[in-house]
Amino acid sequence: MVDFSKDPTARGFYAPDRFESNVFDCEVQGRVPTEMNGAFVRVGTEWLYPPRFADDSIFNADGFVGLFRFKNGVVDFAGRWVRTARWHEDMAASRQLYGYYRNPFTDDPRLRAQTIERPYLRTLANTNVIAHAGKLFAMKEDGPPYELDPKTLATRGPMSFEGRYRSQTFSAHPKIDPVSGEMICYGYEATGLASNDVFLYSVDRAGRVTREVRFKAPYVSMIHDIAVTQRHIVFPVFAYTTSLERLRAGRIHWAWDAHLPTYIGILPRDGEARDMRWFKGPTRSIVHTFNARTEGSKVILESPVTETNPFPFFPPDPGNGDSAQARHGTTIRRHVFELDSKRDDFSEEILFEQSVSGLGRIDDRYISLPYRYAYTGFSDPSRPFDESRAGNLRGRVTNCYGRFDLRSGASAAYFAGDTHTLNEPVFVPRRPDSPEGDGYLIGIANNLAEMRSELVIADAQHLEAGDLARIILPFRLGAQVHGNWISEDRLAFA
Amino acid sequence: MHDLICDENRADASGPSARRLSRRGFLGRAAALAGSTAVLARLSALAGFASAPRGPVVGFHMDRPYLDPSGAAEPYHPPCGTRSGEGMAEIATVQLLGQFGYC
Repeated sequence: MVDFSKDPTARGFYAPDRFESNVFDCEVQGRVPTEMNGAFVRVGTEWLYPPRFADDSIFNADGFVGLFRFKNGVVDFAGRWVRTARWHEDMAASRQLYGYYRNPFTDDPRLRAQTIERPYLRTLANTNVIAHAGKLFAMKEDGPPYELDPKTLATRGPMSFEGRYRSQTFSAHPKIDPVSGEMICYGYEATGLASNDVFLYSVDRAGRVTREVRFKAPYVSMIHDIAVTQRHIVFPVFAYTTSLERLRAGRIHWAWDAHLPTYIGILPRDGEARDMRWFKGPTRSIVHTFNARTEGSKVILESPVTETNPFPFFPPDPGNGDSAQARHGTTIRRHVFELDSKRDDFSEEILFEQSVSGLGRIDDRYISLPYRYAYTGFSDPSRPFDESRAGNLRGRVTNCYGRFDLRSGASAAYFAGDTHTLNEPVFVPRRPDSPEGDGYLIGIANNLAEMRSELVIADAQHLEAGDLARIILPFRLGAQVHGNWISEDRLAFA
Repeated sequence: MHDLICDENRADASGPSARRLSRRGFLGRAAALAGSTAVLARLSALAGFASAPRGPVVGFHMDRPYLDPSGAAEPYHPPCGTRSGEGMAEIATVQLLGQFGYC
């Protein structure tokens, strides 16, 4: 039996869905651009069974993939569980066997010894979903990626890249170099729980591992995302940390520690571990990056950055900082690292005063290259919000997408509606050879009043004009972490 | 209100030279103090500062509710009801029955 009634967060719009579905030729308001041929694929979290601990993180819920297939202006939707080993174990037991986020010491005794020894068995593949070398795979940074059938979304199983990928973990943010076509990926806590080992890999466009570099981070931390340039790889190490002691005590994996400095590792793309250079700066949270580039002897990184704990479900231990601040703490910042300098500090500049969400995207054709536009969501409390129909969430939800022009300093905004909250935006080029920024900004808008999710499509160069189209699902989608546009020339969809 | 309480306390704590309180005077001061304390508690509650620790609260962060065991989060109050039948209220009964048969 499944009983979510004791979970006070599983209410209203956020009540569990727990069903797989197909919707053929989705209802559309407006007109879907016919040049969009491919799929918007998103992954997020859905509890198959209620969490064992009421204050657990939503990041510990099962992975659920949604795929919007675009073909000649028609959109079909499919939603499926990512059937990980953990999903199967829970289904067989008909209950939640797994404890706190990334803490196997809190698992059910029937499998605790196994998950302590092999914590990667606990992965939920719930954080990102990408395509590379003709394969579609979902991943979470605590275990291997899971391959999915792009036509049916059936789970094919964990990936090992023919045994040549030897880290226990696989980051949720590999980077695909648009010039070489290779995928740069890595795993932190690579040798086990609370290890500070990081394994870095290059995987060529055919899916073969061509390079491995192993190094140690200054302290074990959430290296959730990286950035790459044509010559360097950038590793942010920031103030979340853990230890085996903490895990044995039954605590959630991460604790924020405001006493910890930020380290940024810069590694030449053709370098070895000894070539890593660590820069050090004040406490920051850099969960995601926009992009980076190398200009002469400088590496330049832009990211959404906050100075405090962005995740309230990973609180600090007493004396180690404040609980999570409101969303207004995150701003788009530029960090510059002088490779010719003997100093280990770096400069920081706030590029836009607007507080933004921590989810940053660009036109992915410009990863590792000089670029102009950054896209992210933000909350604009001056916009209309109907609290009677959507709840007391004015100023607390992402209700706008922003395009931030790094060259001119200008910004533009798309507003989703007075009962809507937006998930991460994704940029879709109008054509493969369109200039940067010429295309569409798309993303899921949750309609809190009508209890349904909608995929919005806006002209990325005219965000203020509102929707070009809005694809209407007749039900709610579960929480999304990340999504991507995959054109049909990269993957064989149905 | 705080000054009133402090003044009362200062008067009572003025040392050997303080005048002795009659029983009626003591009861009167106690009643005044209790009343002012109650008002202060109400004001404190209105200002959002609980005089006693709060239990866990459902907050809202990154477009999702979450349970804050510390009780410090701003509470999230979802709207009443789910997908409403508000739109159906506009339709005449005859039309409604014709559309849905048994509702």
